Amino acid sequence: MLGRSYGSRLEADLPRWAAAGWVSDDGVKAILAEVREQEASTSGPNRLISILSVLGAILIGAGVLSFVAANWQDMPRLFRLGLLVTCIWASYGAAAATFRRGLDAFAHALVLLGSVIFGASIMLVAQMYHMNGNPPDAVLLWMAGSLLAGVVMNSNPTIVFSLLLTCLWGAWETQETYGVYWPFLLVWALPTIALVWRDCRYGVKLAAIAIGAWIVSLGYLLPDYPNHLLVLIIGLVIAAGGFALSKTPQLEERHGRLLLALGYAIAFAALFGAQFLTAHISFAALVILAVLALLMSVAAIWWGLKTHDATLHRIAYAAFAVEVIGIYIKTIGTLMGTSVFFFSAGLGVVALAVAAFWVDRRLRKMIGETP
Amino acid sequence: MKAFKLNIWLAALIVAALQTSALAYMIVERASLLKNGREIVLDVRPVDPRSLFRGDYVILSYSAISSLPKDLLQTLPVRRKAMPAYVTLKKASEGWQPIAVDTRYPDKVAPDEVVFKGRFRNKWSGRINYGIENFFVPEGEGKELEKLIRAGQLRAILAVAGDGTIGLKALEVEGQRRYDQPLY
Repeated sequence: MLGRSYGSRLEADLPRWAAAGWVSDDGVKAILAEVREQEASTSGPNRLISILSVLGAILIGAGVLSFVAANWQDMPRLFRLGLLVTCIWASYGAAAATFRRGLDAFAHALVLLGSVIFGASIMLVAQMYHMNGNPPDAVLLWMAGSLLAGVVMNSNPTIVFSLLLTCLWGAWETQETYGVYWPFLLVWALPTIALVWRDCRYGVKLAAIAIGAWIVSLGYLLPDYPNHLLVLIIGLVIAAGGFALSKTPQLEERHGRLLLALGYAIAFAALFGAQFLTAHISFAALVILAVLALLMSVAAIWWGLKTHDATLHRIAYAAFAVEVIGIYIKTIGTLMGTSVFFFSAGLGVVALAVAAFWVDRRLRKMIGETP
Repeated sequence: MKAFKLNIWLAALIVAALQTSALAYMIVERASLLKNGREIVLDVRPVDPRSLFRGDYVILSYSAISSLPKDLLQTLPVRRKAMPAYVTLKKASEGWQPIAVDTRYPDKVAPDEVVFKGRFRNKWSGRINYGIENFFVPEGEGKELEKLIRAGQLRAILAVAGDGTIGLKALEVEGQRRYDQPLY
């Protein structure tokens, strides 16, 4: 799971297993062939082609945007718009043709290009009629067009793009109104449902990050600012839900895992805000919150390692480091206090490690497994 | 992996057609506002030009309505940022002047009155955006237009729809209509 690919590890192990007589030589060949085929579709040159074509589409799109901005006067208005609309039709048409020929990487890039040009056209129309009513509305229309293209043409990069536009729109409206922007929840759900349905893992992760940031922002935007307790509770509820889901065999385990990591990250952000972004905090409260944040992170690291959940344990390691740096900066100057705190925190973590080891051994004994 | 089961050519056609219709709708709506809206002329002055993606433009400030006088605002119990503002203007000898502001469209509007729909820019002052503050000019002509504007009196020619939506039609420098644009 970490480091080398599954295929290269199998390649190292299989000859040994074949020599021991556990697997036949034909079996080795068959296993390797299947794994290699699987990996070829998700990594290596194919992956590179996808990434490069998507980046290319974004660059060409940016070129179209600046072209629109720069060549105002040289072309009649409707001609400029007609050019853009032609580009939209050409992009989707070319995408369909390339999908048909099995060149999916290029096809996805072309769908994305079509959606970027759609955005450029919206901007051009706004410019033609001197419109600046409410710029986020234009972003929302762009988002809707991209989502439609991504879903109907089965293209994950474009659905992810519509998710990014949703974030831009939500952030813009939040900044305009300077309050919690509730419609974000509804609009965020649309690309997220599409991404879960299409099983696009990086997209679902991005959607989780987006909603996590929105939930954390609640703590700062609600009237009784700063409201870290609420964020902490939401985070813990999400983590608990994720934990329960990851234990339910009927459902996809990794959705539960992702929710667990998301809930943990939200809860940690709340604790971090309460400790370091609050104007006045008593030393006792700081110590309690810091201990809570560290304990929670240690628990998350332990659980992540135990269940081979790389996302969770990496986030928890990072959070642990951030927490330690935060404490260090906050208590700098009272060096004695800092050293006492780290000393006791260190002892606490070691004690936890011993306790975890002991619990783990007892559990294994109970189910009759040797350590 | 689940997929939308649709012929790919048909899918491309649907997407392209719907996106094109969205653009067409935007244009038709604006053109009809500019064509059928009531024409109102207001004094303006330029604030500051330039935008990254959209070429040169001049930001316009409307002397009568961009910032409402304090006494008009007292009718509003609460104010918050981006709250809708319906400003009623009445024709006076010195031009259109604001006489009332509300958060919804007023029930009665006299024939010599007109209603502008906008949004409060913040909760403290009476500054309002109406969506008519940007005037895009051909690239390179921004500075020239600015000079022209500094020298003489500037007016904006607006089109106002029955629901308070406003479109910016053209500019008038020293009583002369300039940058008048075709509907399409």
